Amino acid sequence: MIRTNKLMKVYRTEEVETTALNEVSVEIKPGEFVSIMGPSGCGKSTLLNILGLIDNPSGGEYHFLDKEVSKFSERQRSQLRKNNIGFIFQSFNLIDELTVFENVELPLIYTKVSSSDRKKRVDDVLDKMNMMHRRNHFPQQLSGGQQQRVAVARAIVNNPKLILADEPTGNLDSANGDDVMKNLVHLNNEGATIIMVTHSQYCAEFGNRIIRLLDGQVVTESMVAKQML
Amino acid sequence: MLKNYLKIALRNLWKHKLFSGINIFGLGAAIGASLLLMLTALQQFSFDRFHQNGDHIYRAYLESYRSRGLERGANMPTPLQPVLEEEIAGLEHAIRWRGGRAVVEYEGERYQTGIRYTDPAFFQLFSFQLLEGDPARVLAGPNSLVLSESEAVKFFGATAGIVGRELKVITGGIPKILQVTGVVEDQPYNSSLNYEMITRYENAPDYQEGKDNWNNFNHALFLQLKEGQNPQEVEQQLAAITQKYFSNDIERIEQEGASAPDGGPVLRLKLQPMHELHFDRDVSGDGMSRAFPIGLLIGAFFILGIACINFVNLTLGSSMTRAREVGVRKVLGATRRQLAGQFWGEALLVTGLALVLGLAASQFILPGFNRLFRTEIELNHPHLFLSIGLILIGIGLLGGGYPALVLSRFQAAAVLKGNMQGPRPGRLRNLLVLAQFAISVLLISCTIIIGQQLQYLRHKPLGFNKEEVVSIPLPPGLDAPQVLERLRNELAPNPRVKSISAGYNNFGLGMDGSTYTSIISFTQNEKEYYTHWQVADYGFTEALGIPLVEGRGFSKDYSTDTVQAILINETFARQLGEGPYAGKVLEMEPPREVIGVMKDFHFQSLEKPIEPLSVALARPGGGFPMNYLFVRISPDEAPATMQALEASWKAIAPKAPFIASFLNENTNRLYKVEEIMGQLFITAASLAIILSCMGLFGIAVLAIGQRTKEIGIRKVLGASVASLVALLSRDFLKIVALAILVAAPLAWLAMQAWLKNYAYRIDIQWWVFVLAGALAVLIAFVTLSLQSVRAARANPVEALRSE
Repeated sequence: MIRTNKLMKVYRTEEVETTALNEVSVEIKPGEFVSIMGPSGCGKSTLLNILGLIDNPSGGEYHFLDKEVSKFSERQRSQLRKNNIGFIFQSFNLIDELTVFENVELPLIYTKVSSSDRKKRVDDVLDKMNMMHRRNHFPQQLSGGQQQRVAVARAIVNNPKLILADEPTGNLDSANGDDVMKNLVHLNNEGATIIMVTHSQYCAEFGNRIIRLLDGQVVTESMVAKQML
Repeated sequence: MLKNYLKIALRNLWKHKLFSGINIFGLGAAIGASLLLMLTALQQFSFDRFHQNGDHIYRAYLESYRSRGLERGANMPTPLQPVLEEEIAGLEHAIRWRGGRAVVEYEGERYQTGIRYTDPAFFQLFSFQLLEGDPARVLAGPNSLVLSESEAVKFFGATAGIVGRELKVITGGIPKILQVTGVVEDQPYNSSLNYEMITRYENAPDYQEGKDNWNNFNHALFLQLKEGQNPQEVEQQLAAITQKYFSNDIERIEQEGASAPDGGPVLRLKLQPMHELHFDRDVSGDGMSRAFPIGLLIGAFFILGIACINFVNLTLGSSMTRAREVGVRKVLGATRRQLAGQFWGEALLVTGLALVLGLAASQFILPGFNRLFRTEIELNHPHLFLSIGLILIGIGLLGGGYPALVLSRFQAAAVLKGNMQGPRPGRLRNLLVLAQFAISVLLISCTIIIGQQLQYLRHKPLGFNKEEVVSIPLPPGLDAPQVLERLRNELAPNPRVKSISAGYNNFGLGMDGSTYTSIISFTQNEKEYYTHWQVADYGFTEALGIPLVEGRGFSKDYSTDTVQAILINETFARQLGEGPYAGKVLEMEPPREVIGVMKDFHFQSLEKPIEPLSVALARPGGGFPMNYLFVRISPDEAPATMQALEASWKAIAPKAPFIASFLNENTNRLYKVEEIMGQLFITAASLAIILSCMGLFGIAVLAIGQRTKEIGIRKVLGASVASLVALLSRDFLKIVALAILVAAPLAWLAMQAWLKNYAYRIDIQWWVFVLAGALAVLIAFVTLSLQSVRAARANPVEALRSE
């Protein structure tokens, strides 16, 4: 599903050149749950953004669903993204002015799903996330855990092939964190491919494989012994 | 998708109430005000454009290259019109147009009114709507009379069914029975020609004397050219006419030694397009200055611009709060175009709300506006849609488009990581604030200067007593000498009535709304002179307080004064060469002997320099009737004196209306346009500064909000409230100061150009700009303080915690 070859990302300011990713080559197969770990500033989020097609690499190749996409325009990336990828963020990134229902509905609007279909699918996914009773609330009226559940609902409402999660438990207490992780494992079991960036070894071990980065390079890749959930 | 946008737009508006309020109310006020200003200006530009044949209608004028310079005039001699109809090819119609005063006797009452004399084709040439009568035939009969709607209602109480009725009309002392043949709608506001009653040109009182006289220039001449006829070709034909019929004038001018710079003829008959009449200042000299409507349009544009700048600044300033939304939407698949569309749509929504507010506001203030500025604008005018379109496009594109582009450009990855700074407040914002305050300072300076000039026009001593002299129009049917005599006798015992006289021309614009002047010319020692002509009764200079610098005034002791004596002003005297002037005989018809020289006084508007003036005694049948009484009264208990005056008037002329006004009221009336312009500028300047301050306040809220942490740290380290206020206000005040430097020279240039319209004008003082600038700085500082003092006084712990 995903294959990168010597992926580079260099940030340039007037005086400093920072290499965020240095010849990163990874391969992720459909159905995998991969955790990316490493210290702050090692390039985890940069890698995730490039894999999620919200940033362009400075060099190297990126094959997504058998297409070389590293030179894609914003428009092409947007097209691929909205049909295939769901995002979950550490800070939830819900739109404050929209209700729970409307936040979850948003990806469907951009993929031009009909109104009646949208309602059904949003309600289904909210039900699945156990958030139906909060569908007309605004994000500020929810707890962190509830907000992240809404964010997860929004990420999966389009049935994406790939779910990217950037520190999804970073702003949550352990109980809510566990809850989110269980949801991710469940989604993975249903067939979704998941890539998650995390600081937490505990969370990382919910996946099948851990990729460790240091100074923009992959240092180790290891399989995780199967958890009992 | 649209529903989603609308929802989020409305919720955002509600969430940021302060900024939404500034934007909607600011834009609303700006739209309302600029709409009225634009409509006022567009109405001025629409003058005389409603005639269907408008593109083919011209006014004839004479251009003469004199030794004293180029002169233009639109008055024509009576025999010219039939000659043109006869000899010019490509002419559809030619009509004469002349105004006068008349008294109408109807059912035992006497009414004073205006009358216009013209030729039968008038209603075919111009598109004034006849309610009764056929345009081609309504003036066919020699005694035809077409009444305006208002006059018809005045006399008959109706506009229909009155054709065939008769009215006794007295002009130049001669009564005539005229028959109503038509009723015409009152002239629209935007018509240069106006009328109460229209009759045949042949009914003018001096028609018989003038009909073959090529030297009496007393009416306007309008020509309608045939469809497709080139006006230059007609002007070429007119050149031949000029050679043929104006040979005496040409000879006289050439004798002066004058010549045209291009070597062509010294006297040329030319055509001026009808729609240029309203702004004409070259030919008849009383047109409106284009500076007025252009100034209004610029003012409207400025006010809208300021409101737009607020919009851009506040949207950009608060864009950080929208950055995350942009990021999320991008991640979820929104394209840049969709995002730009969304924000642009929000801008249009705000503009739309503001537009509704502005329209409602302007509808509300329209009656007052029309009254105050003597306009007749309506909101259901086609110009309105043009104006609204311009406003929507202007604000939507400029005010909404730019922030939409900036917002949609945010990088999703960066914004969501949370390490993204919003667009730097820096240059653009400062530039826009600078522009706002420059406009405000510009308008304030212009307001002060216009006010000063108006003050100057009103209070400049004019060389005659305008405070104590009352002018009363004498209706044409009255025997002026008799009225004068009786009034003098009646009021002789009243110590507060100091002197009574009369004259042909009024001073300034009287209650009858008319002002005119006559010019005569004569040749002496092979040199041509021209002079304004005033005819007066005994005691003229005494009543008006005009000092004589040489000689004496008119006196009954000299029996020859009535036919020979003439008073001239200093300007005329200087043209005549060396003094003494008393005793000089001028080769007029009949010859006149100068008996005295009046000190120069301003008998015309201060827009014009003092020109030569002669005053002769009125005599019966002299062609120049006494149209106005001048009564000088004592300033104390003026109301009681006025009552006494009115009582005597009623006793002497019971049927004539008593419409008296002080001469200073008359002269002030000359500067109505200036007064209106001044008031409009004050309004525009106030609005500009209020809007600028609203915007500045909003920006200050944002800028200070971004510096909360800095303020907290400074306070912890011991900064005083005053030093913090200074710190927070300094950057903005610097911009305002710079704005003054930008605006002052622009204001100086604009006002210098405007003042050139006046022969008598103020010098622009440097302190005007200092005052305007100080005012702007003060207002800006107070605005900023509202926010900065609050921030500086806040508990520092709050500031640090909130960070």
